[in-house]
Amino acid sequence: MIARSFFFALFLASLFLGMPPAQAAEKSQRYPQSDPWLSTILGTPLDERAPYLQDIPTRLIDLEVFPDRQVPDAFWYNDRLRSSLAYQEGKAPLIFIIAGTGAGFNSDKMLSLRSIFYQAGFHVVSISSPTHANFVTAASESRAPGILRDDANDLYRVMQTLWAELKDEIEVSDFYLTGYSLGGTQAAFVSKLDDEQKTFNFSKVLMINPAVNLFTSVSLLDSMLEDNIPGGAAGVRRFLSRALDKFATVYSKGDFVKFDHEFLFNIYRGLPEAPTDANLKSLIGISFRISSSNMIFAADVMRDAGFVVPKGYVLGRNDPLDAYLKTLAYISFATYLDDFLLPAAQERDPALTRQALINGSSLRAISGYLDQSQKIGVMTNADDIILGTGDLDYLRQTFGNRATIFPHGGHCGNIDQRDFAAAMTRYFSQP
Amino acid sequence: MKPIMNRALLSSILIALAMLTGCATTAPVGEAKYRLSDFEKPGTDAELDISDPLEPLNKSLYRFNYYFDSYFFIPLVDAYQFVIPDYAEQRIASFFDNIADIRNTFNGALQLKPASTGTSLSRFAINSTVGVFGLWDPASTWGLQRQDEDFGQTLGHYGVDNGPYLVLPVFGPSNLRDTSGLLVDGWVFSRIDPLNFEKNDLDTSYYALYAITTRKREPFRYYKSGSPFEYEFIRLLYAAKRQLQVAK
Repeated sequence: MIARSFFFALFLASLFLGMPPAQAAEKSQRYPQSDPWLSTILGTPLDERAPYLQDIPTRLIDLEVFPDRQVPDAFWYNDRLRSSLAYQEGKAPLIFIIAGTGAGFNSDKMLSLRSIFYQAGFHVVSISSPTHANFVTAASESRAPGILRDDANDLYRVMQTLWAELKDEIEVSDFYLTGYSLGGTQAAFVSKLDDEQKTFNFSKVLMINPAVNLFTSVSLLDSMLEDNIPGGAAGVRRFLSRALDKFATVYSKGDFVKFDHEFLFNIYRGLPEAPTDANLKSLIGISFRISSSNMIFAADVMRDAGFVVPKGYVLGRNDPLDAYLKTLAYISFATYLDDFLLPAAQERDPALTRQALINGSSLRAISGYLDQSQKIGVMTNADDIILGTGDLDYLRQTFGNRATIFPHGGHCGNIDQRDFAAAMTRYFSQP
Repeated sequence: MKPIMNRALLSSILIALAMLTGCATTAPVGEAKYRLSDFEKPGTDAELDISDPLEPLNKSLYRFNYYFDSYFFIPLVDAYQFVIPDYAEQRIASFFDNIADIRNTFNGALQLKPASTGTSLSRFAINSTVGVFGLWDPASTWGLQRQDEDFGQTLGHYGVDNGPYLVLPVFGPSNLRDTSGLLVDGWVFSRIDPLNFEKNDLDTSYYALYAITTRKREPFRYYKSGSPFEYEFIRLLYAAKRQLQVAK
């Protein structure tokens, strides 16, 4: 929730960079489906969204994944993994949903997906991303997320533990698995694992807007910040602060009632001119860096890795964290890979090279499995901004008629759009 | 006897303090691989910094609010929602909004904003009469939108800075300016005494119901984001939100 409001505030502010305040809210503009950056940020307008169900019978589950784990005092609130089950009356298929990078089990997109799949008649179990601080703290064995095989193992353990807790309460006819963004990529690895261990025997698996190669995608996101903000990472705070000032000026002139999703569109429609791509990319880049800062900080403290927190220092509950937060604004995912993830992985496997690590964190590492496994499908957009050169072709070739590619929507911008939602539901419903 | 008791008291306070602040670690503390000074001179870039000299105390209160929420406030709100029909809840919420229009009118006037003041005053007049003591809100349907004004904003309007960030028990994020505003608004309310608390003893029920209604409307839950920087993000968001409200 907070990440969302924060993100919105930043977004709204950045739209007004360099714009004469008096002109805002005069002309109106149509929602441009064709701009991937804008789709990624704005999402789907209300009148095109699938019907959203707010009140769903849901049980929140605080899961103790590792009973023996000592969580540092500073992370006392993250000692258990939070997840949820939305349950049907009577027997129904159960679908696990894995959140995207940095997202929790109840993020906006997770709530949309829960609503869509619940209305399709499924029990829905929502699981935070292995890159979410709560997951890193409570459910990651290595406490260094980013290696798809390890993350899949962690997810599978969580699913098994959840199922042990839930199996006496609900009747399940079938197991499905899905995930969006990085969660989509992870779903494929979890599916492969399940084919070996056979706890669930998933009959259908759907990857939604997956990354093909994790490091290609995160590099794209890293560079959105570094290439578009004046001064790169050093300019982030100045960029946001200026944007906020400008936005306050504009906001004071307009007649806006409350901050909600529609407010974004109202602001957008009232803009005198379209925001520049550079501003939109900056915003997506900043949002990603906030996610990765949360993740890296959690991993650093959990491993006592001495990355941004001095090694051996015991973080107290009331310690100021500003300096760490500011430092992490400079740390790209690539830096995390080189100076944190690789050394952590080499502790177990000294022969592991950087290139092998990168290659392993790609769908291409399990191409043979994806090629043959008829139960795995993919749904994405041709203009998804986290796909690198050749990635879309790879998905088309590997999945053939199991791939559904929408022309527009950016990265998950149309995840709750009516047609997209219908296609997701259809994928699981058809025999 | 007395000095001994004092000494016992003193040592138990010291022990309690040591427990609160966390005992010093004996393990040697090394260096971090990346420090802020590797990227910028500390203190050179103060953009988005928010004054928080009482941070340790604020963080303790932030935690207190979490426990207060978990064990008392939220269960109370849930029970209220369970017992009271939605329709009645809406009437009650609308009633409090109407009372708040007194504050909105008063602060709009202090800021010399004729449009905002006029709107709030008309809203109060219409909703108190046509809306039956504010139980309904016909003014909004007639296009008179709520104008949120409070004394914290009034101070901000005349250039008073935020002052240090404060986490208030139960109320949550605030700062010195807005806390002063809260006190002034409360004082003005008690002077005007629109519900005649002077002559009846409904004030306790009024404040209890007001607290429940206010908490019910706020979806925020402490620590549920799971972000290690939640406190810092909330601190920034609060300042940003107030900056927008003051500018309006």
